[in-house]
Amino acid sequence: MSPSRPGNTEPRDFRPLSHPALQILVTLGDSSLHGYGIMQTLEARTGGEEILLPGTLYATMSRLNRQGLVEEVDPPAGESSGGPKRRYYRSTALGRQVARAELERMARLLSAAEGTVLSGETPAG
Amino acid sequence: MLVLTLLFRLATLTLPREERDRYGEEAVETFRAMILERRRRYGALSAWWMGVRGCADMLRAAGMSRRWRREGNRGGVGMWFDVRSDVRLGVRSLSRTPLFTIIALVMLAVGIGASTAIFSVIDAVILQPLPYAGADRLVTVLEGKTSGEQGYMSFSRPNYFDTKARNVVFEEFGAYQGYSLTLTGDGPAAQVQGAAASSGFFGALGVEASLGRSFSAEDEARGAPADIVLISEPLWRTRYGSDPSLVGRTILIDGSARTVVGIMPTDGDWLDGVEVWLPLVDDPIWQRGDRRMVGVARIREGLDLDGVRAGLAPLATQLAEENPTENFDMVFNLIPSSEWGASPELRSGLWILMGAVSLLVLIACLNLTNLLLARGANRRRELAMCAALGAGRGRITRRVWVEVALLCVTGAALGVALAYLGVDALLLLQPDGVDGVTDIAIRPLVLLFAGGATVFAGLISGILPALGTPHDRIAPILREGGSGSVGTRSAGRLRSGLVALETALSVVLLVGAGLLIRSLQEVSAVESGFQTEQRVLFEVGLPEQYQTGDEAWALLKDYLARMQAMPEVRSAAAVSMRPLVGGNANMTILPWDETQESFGALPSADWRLVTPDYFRTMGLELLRGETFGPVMDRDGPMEVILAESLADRLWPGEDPLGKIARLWTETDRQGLVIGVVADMRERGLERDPTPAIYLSYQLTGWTPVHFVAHTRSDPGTLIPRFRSMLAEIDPNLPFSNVQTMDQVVAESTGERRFQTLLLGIFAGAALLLAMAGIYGVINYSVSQRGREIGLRVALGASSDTVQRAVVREGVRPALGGLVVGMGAAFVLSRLMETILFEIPPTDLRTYGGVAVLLLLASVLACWIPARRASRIDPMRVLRTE
Repeated sequence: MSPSRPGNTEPRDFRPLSHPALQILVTLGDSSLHGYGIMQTLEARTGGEEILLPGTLYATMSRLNRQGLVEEVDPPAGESSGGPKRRYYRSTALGRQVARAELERMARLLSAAEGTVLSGETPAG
Repeated sequence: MLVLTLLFRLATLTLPREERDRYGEEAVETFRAMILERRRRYGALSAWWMGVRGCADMLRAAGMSRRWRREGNRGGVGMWFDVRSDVRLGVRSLSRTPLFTIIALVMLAVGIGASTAIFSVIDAVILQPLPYAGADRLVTVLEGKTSGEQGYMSFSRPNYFDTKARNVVFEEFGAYQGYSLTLTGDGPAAQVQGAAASSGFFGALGVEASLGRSFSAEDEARGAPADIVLISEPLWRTRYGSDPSLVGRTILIDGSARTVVGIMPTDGDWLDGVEVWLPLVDDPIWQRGDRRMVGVARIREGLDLDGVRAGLAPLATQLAEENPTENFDMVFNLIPSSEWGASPELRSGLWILMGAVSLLVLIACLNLTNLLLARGANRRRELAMCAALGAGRGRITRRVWVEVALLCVTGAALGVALAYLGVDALLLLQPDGVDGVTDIAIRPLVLLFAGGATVFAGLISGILPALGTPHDRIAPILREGGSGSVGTRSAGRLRSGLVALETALSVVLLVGAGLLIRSLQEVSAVESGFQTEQRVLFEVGLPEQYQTGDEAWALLKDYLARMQAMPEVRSAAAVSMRPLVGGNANMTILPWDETQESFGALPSADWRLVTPDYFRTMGLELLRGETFGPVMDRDGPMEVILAESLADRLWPGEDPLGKIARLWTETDRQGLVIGVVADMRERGLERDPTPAIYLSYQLTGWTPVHFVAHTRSDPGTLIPRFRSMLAEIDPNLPFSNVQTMDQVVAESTGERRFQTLLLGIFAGAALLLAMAGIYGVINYSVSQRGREIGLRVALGASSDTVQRAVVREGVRPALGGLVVGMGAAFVLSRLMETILFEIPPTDLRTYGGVAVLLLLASVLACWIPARRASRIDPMRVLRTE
């Protein structure tokens, strides 16, 4: 079952969502950002723990776009960086659903892990 | 950062087309923003690291994209992971055939290592920019004559000061003159390398004192006291313990007190090696005909060399008109800074070595191709099986390329390690005669070269094996038995062709090495005119109190008498220039009753001051007349002794004894010829005999004095006694620079021996590789044709017949290679003409020797497979069918 087939709308079909795809969808949230903005926002929000590099960003963006999870939008009115016109991206409704579904799945996994691997032991080093 | 962006842009080319068109430019912009931000916040190093990661990430992501497009998303396995699995497979497959792998790696490592080491020398000697800002505008300026034999002449001080004042083409113009000085006080007396330099000299080079100041225009104005000095950093460190208070103190140089005003750096030609700098003061005492300076200038912005020449020409005419005696036919000669450092001979020698080592790399690549082809033939079934199981052609070809890449990268890593060692070995091997090769190092450019050589080696050696992978017609390969014969004949022909090519290349190298070896033989056999056995030289610097004739003569006479009184000493003498390695002192000379116009041209002679026993001590035959007497007649004309060739030149067919010569033609000094000695090749064994004129050391106290002793036993053991005897006369005289005459000769041929050794090593390696290639092809062919050979033996062929047939098969490509190689060598050896000595590039003995050597080597290489073939047991072969 190919998730890139047009007309596919079930969030479950996109599982498992790749990590870069989840990073992008989560970072975008309800806002619209340009490519570099996504990288900066992700890095800032996670205190540098999570980073995205341009190669992965655009390769993933291309796929999310084809799958209908992300769309390109017009730049916000206040945008005037002076440089070449940047493309802005935002999640589609489906994209947000898929991200939410993936996060819920992870939350379930996290709660299942409570009391087992997460308690007591600390990683060596 | 530009490099990183460029690399990233290249990496985006691996994206699938649609994505590249859509996102490529944006990704590059984002990448640029990212690394700029990174640099601003965390510094350049962090930005570089991020940039490299970004490039790798782009390659990986592009692989993933392609994979997604091809197969849909199946858990995100990209091409990157395919390549990783290919690498794993490649490593496994290479380690299954350790002999093949080791041979391939050794060949690559030697080839890449040797070429990298040689390139590092080229980089250091030729490519490294001079350490001066705007070095492309620097030139050496010399005087010259439009007539006569003196193309390049040093500057005289008056001409220098006039040129400096009147020229309109130089931004800065300085002059330099090296000499030997004696340093006393603050430790034992020391002979140091000194130089007089003008403020313009440092100004032109753009060099400033690292402590204190350098010279200023006031220091060299007429009447300036000339009591200051600059000290080099190394001398400051070793003799004065880097004491900063040295600046401002006085030190004793040649017995006179001078104030140290600054400490000078030593990096770069000109500065290198000079320990003490004296100011160049304009003084009427200096003669216009006394040429000892070298000019160094910085050209005005916007002028090229032709412009400078045009600008100087009227000045030369003007100076010649004002001083017709000294400056007749005057011209200015310019040497651009790009020609500093390495002589044209050294340059062409290095490029020839580079060509040779490139041939070696090519031979190694051809050998590797051959090995890979043989390996491919053995693996046809394995690869055909992969194809049958659904691997695409690309996938199978990629496996071959991945293996080649693994071999090349590992071989290159080993090669660069070898080059590191090789550079150290070069520095050790490097004889004293090779100048300017001290800062050889593996610099980034050298690594880039090694990388390029690796890619080249990989492409050359991988292309045929990759083309030869099975992709169609799989079925017959799978059907046939273990060692199939499909395509074997054409493959065999291909491999023989490669071996022939390899042989041809090694013939070129062997001929090159042979020609150099023959030249070296010729140089060693040259009639030098002097003897070297049991002769030793050392140098003594004379401080100022000895520099007026009589004092110096008294010292020399006393010291030489003491030396000659030793029973171990046959004779001892002194000379003002060390033979072969010393500098030059020229004079122009004419028969007294001739003028330049009547004589035709103005002969130039190298003059030396000698003591009477010099000729006997050097083993130089006195052909006519006599040597100098113990007492010089100061009233009559100066007594001179001429070298035979100079005497013939001045008075052809006449007896030169008693003739009067005009010495230093512009000064009208008379020289009375009292003797003629045999010619001596003092300017170097490879140069024509020196037109030398010898004067008596009684004339002046020329420093430093070079003493020569001819001894009855090993001269080295007498040195301590020579030293202590000198100290008994005057403890403040510096004794230095001890060399036997054999060492002097070895030093003078050092560059040639070095070149010959290196090219010889390359040619030897090439011959070994060619032999390995022949062996590999024949060995493989014998193993493939076991059945045929067995049948022949069964049908009555003797083992001799079989051996001969195998050897013939091996020698055939070698013969083909020999013919082609000889032709190529015949053409290419012309490039070596400049570094050959008395041997034509078409020297028959060399070509003949190479032919014999190569044929013997190829027969030897076939020997083992031939013996194996002759021992094939026909019964066993026939049974296995």
